[in-house]
Amino acid sequence: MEATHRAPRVSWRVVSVVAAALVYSWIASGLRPFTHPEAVAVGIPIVAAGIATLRSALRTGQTAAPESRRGVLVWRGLLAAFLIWELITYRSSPREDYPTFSSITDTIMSTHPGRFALFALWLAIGYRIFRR
Amino acid sequence: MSTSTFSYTIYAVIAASWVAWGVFTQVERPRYATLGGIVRRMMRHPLMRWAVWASWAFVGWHLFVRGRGAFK
Repeated sequence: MEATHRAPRVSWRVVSVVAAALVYSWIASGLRPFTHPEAVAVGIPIVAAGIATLRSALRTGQTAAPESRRGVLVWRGLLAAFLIWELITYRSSPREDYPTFSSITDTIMSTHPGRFALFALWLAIGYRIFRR
Repeated sequence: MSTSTFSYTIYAVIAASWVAWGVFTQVERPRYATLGGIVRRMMRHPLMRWAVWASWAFVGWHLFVRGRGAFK
């Protein structure tokens, strides 16, 4: 007898949430920096994540499988390497010769699709972190 | 090699190392700590969860609200 494999179905709820997040990202990334509408558009997910963090803090009796600690030192080293290099370039000039993370992302975000991609990525990372 | 090429190369090496180590830890999990596992552990800590939230909020605010040069 041949085994039948059914591909996991994506629910309409997931599709709607992803579609809404993409539409939101497109609208928010079309707003200009240093404006109140952009501050509100970025502030809404930040407040929502803050509420989710507060709710998780109020939840008690959380039990989770212990995570491995092997390799944490490497992650710390990679973070330190990034922060040290960011600090060196930030303190150096001219910016053309010493680009910072912000100036690199500014170049990516000089177009609406580039800004949209980074906004959607930021939103997705936040969703993954704070959805629990 | 010009100074700017050198600067971009350093960023590229750091980024490639992040990706390489991220892929390795994913393949070798649960023996090695993944980035997701580290964040999960931080989110269980009463203070560290707010540090994670503040870091994520700072990146978003800095990039999109206080960003320089967008749409120049």
